Amino acid sequence: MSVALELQGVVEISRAIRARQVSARAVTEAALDRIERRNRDLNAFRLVLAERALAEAAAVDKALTQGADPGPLAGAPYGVKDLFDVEGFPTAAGSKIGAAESPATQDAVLVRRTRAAGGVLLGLQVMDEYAYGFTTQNAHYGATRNPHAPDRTAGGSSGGSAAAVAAALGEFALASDTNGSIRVPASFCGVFGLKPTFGRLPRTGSFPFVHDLDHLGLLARGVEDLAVVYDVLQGHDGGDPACAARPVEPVALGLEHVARPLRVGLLHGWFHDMAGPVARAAAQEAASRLGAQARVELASAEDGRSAAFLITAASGANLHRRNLETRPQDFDPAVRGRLLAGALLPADALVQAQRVRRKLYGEAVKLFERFDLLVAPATPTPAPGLAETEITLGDRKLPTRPNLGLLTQPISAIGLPVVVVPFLQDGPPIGVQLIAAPWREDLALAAARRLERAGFARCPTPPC
Amino acid sequence: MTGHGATQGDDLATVRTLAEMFGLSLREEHLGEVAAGWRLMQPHLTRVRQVELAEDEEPAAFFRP
Repeated sequence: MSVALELQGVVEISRAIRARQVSARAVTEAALDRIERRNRDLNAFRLVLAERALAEAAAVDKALTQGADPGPLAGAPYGVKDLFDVEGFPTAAGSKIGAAESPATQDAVLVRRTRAAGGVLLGLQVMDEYAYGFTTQNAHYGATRNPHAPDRTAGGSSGGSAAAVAAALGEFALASDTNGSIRVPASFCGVFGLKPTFGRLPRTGSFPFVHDLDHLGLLARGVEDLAVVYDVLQGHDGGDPACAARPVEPVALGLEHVARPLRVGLLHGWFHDMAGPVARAAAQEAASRLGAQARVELASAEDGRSAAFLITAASGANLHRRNLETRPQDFDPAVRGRLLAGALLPADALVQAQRVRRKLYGEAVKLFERFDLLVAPATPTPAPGLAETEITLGDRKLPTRPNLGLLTQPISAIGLPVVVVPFLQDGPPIGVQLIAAPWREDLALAAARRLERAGFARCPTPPC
Repeated sequence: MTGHGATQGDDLATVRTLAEMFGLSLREEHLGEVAAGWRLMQPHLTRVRQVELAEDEEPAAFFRP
């Protein structure tokens, strides 16, 4: 086996490339070869950009030859969800309509930052149309399959990104999370995911869904990789009016060094009642291993989830209204009906929904006076089958598609940073949310690292 | 009539009426999908409306944590 194929992870690959033990070109060719072999079955990539990837790898190798530093991600291959602008290609956002638009004239800000740090872009990854879904079953581009159980969903809407990372078709992926679109597929595919605080990472050059709920983040197979890439992505950009003018707050070097013991609470109430036994057990175990001191409640979690549900439908409808009226036949039928219904919601209910968010946020702020970290399941169950239309929770049967995010929605509704850690068990993987106070991604990542080092949080071996 | 207890026919009628009121152009063949989407929203609409809020609880429009 070649050195390029044996290497795993951003940190290891970049270190080997910088030490000239392997070329970026060899690593890129190995990644492209793996995509060629696996993508037909998984449908993780909508578009593979081999020419660009090889050119970026050549630039990394050339920089090293000239004695220059290619950056902390030197030669690390990655993919992006199909809603990031990539120069020369239309930004489809999982839609037929977007795919017919003019090509992007420049890369999204986060893609530019990743490239400047030496990352090698492999391609664009399959998603639910306009990010409105939790299963990545796309009428235009097909369903993404779960690498660990091909008859099960990869989750969504960043399903292509999570499946690619889980199957080692690239070392990390840039993705988005409005209601759980990083955390749900991370849970189902057994990878680590980071959804930073709302306003942390600039969305400039990415296709929006819900302006005041959209977060950008990433997926990887290890916590150190998440942290190293996240550090590269940080920094204000004026192109996104919601991006906070905060300094870069690096986390990678502090992963192992939390100044004091973390105060950890296990979220109960909604997060217990709406989780199946596997999800409950995983969250309980994670909380115990982190030394959880108490079970706590976010009393308005269900209200906040409902608020997010309505705001999402109305905002999506507003964004796409013209096309919904003039060319509805070009939408994915699974998305079209909900978007159109969103255009019918009454204004007073939407104002009320925004007030409910504020109430929930107030409750969370109070909790964070007593705790550094809150722990909750990421999804109510492990990945359901692609054809399963209902999930069972106790004696309740719920429609699958709208309910896979019921444990993630209350958290993104108030913009809190979350790391999802994969929990290995006998069956398919499931993830646990480690939730921190605003701007404390460092604490969530440090806790994730602790669980990873203890062997509790770990990605399943990528299938061959 | 709409929401809990509403029939599919009720929801179709509601969607037609609201679309007309809000000037939303809908194709007849998509009415069933929209009614299904509308039904999905109803428990959330009901829930959000029932939340008791203090008068000084401001909307979190363009929310910043």
